[in-house]
Amino acid sequence: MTEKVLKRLFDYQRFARNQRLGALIDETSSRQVSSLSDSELSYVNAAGVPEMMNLRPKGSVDREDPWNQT
Amino acid sequence: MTYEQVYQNYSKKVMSYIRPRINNPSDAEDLHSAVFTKVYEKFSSFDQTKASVSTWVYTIARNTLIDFFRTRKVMDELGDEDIVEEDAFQGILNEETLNELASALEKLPERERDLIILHYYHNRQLKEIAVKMHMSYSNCKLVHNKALMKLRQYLT
Repeated sequence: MTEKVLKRLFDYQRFARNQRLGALIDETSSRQVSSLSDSELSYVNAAGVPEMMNLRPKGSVDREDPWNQT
Repeated sequence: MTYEQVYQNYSKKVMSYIRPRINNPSDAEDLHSAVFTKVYEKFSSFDQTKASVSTWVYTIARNTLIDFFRTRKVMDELGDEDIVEEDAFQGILNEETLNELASALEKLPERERDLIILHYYHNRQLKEIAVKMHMSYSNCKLVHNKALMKLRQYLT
């Protein structure tokens, strides 16, 4: 299991939306969202529901990321 | 499976895959159309007995997205990837492997699991994860490497 394989599997998850893996991703999102302040809290994007993201430079804001929900 | 069935089964998944990365809804629609145009064009030559339809459609969607970013000269985590006709990962991109990955992740302590998901699904850098998870960068790298080693063990 190389990092490249892992990255590709998670990318495939964005397409395939495996429920079991999606549930773990949602749990992580919930945990990380709970560490944010009230002003930073927004909705948590459950796996399986696409949300709009800006065309963005590498390393910049990922709207699916629970830390960047606004 | 007919082309119509492929479209019916995978249309939403393709859009779900594309949409979060594209700001302009019209571009997303265009890309979605481009994906299924390619699916249609290649459908007669695709051997469903030898490869998974899901992986095939995913590969076309992914390559279409990479091509789009390159054309627009926009950097994205996919932007540096190579477009491949025959996906080298085809053998592992399936529900079974995703279930195995889920099973392996379930065995990890919560902190390690969160780190892996944040890094590989949400594409956060380890430096940023370290800050958010209240650990030093060097410790974050250690935890990451430890988690990777465990995943390798669980998935062999």
